[in-house]
Amino acid sequence: MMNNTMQLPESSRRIFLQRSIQALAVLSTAPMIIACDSLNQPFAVEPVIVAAESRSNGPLNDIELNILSAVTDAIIPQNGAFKTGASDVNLALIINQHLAYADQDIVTGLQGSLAFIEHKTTAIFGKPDEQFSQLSTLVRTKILVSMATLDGIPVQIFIALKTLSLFFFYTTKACWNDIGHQGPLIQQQEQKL
Amino acid sequence: MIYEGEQISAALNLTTDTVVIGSGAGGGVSAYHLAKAGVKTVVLEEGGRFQAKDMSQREEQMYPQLYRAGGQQMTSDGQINVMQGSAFGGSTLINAADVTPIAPEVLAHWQHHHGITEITEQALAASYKRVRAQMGVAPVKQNLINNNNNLILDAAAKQGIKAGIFDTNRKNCIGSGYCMQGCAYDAKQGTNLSYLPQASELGAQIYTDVRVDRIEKLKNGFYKVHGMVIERGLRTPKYPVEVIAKRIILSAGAVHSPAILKRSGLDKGLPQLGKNVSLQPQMVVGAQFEQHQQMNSQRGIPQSVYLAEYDNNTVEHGLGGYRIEGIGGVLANMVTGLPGIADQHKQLMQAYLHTHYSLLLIPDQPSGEMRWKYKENGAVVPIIDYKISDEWKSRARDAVRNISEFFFKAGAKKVYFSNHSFPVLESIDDIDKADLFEISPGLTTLISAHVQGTCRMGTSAAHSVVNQNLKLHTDENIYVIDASIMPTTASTHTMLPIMAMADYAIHKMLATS
Repeated sequence: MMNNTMQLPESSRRIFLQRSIQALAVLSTAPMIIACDSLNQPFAVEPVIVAAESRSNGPLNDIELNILSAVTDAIIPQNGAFKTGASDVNLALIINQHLAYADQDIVTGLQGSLAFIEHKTTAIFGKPDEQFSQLSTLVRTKILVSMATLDGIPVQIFIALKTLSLFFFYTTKACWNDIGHQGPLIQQQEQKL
Repeated sequence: MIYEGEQISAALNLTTDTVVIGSGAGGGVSAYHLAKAGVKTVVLEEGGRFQAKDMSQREEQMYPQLYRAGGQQMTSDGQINVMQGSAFGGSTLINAADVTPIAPEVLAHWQHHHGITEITEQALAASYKRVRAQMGVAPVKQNLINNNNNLILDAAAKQGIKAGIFDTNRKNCIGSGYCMQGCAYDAKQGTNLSYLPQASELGAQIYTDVRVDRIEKLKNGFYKVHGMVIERGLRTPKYPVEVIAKRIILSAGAVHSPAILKRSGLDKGLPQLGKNVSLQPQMVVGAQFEQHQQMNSQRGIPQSVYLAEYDNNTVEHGLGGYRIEGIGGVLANMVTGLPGIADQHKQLMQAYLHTHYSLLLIPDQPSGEMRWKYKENGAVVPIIDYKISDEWKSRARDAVRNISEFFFKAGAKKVYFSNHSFPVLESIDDIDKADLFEISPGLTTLISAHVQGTCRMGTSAAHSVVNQNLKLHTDENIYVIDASIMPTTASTHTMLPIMAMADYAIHKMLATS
């Protein structure tokens, strides 16, 4: 029982990236993001959230992973109504692992969106000299919430990253315990045997 | 025999009487009845064959394997996620197993507005009977209706409004709740269990992991189907496939059947090909109740009850109004569109166990059109251009108001929708905010499970693609038998309508050929 999935060729584990990624792929060609071109710029702050050796072969580099972690942590922070947050499950790493099987235009879209988040959103919200990933979780959350009220690219990026983060977060067992979700019945049956 | 792609190690060259392209509701039924009648039949299915032992009940693993484009198929504006199965059994493998016939008003609408005089309830009666028997259709058993669905029934009874229990094609269901990721217990009787194995036993040759690209019409009146054996997963081509046949049954679904015809140059004289797309968009509704009112949406049959009070089916427009149907078993997919982030979101999810979840289904009029691009490896990239009409938006706001009122009267403390900008409603006094319910790409997360209409049935090539025998207006031996033939959306769930139409068309074809 339940062994075929594990034996499938790796290619069949192709990422499910949902509607968010579709939007990101479109965004990859948005002039505003291309103009940003920040991925080639040196970052003032060394990324500290994600260690290089734990990137797990995904396409995002350390800098991009750091920004993605800052985003996912702001969308699903630790504590509050329930304990587990994105950082508890290394959500950015999970997403990066799935991206290993994504089309290049999707990856490019995500990279562009992360650059936009890191360098443009702070200016829009009155903090032009700072970078998104340097801000506190609370401020990052406020920026993302504000993005949801705007039209055009900011709201599309916000919704794309929100969708991406929530989908993969709720595939993790850690959060299931917090909300009372039992998870697959098949695993419970196997554990009993 | 059923051959899976990994068993094929060289180019395939076959000759047969009939090729069936696709193995879902249309293809599965067609293949079975052809084989039963002794017609030499080859079935080509692009997706892989997955059986109960393969179903992990994990969303991140099963969507990529069982769904078209790994579950990523979207309208071109990114607003609607168009879900289709792409595996042995097609969408019957991954659907909610709800069995609903074509509404009488829809058949009357087709008759009066599309000239469909032959497809009547009487004409379909024998087909419905056969299909229901083959799949073991029966009402959902009471013990498998969870609190999440029972809430609709109870509240509707108290409020004196209409609701009902679905018929279903399940046998020996244990109520795991993971139907939409493929049944891990062989309870759901999709064509993968109820038609295709039987077709195989009757002599049909079924090939999975074979993508059909085009149909070539040969000078001798035969056809050559060109395709590729593909690697499961990324679907990269491995070996060419050619099948020579006298007759083609195209059952690749409403997105890909017209794509194959277009690529084959068989769109000539068929100006409606790829047009008239109906999606029947749906959105998630959450209704939070007191903590002691546990909903258990994750177990039992996810979608077993519907609220029918707001159905508005008429001869004038066919299916109309809106309805809600309970939903569960798709946690990760469902939460993505819910309002808020951070603690606002976590507060909603902390109440997961005592939150009722439904899908709000709003039938549409044909409002879209297909285009297609092709990848270097030959695979088609469908582009679904779909415009939500102002009339649909108006009906959606009406639905938001009335459904919210329904849940507040049932005792809900909060009601919300899969809309990123619409606030969580805190009381019945908030329902007038429905007027502000914005429906635009990005802000509203919509799902379609019933794409239809791209090869619609009718009486002339100017206004439709197939005739009432489901045969192309422009070709004697090419049939389209899937959701694409519906002139307007056929039902709130399209499996039974497609299967009944397949049964009807094949029997008619066999009787006359």
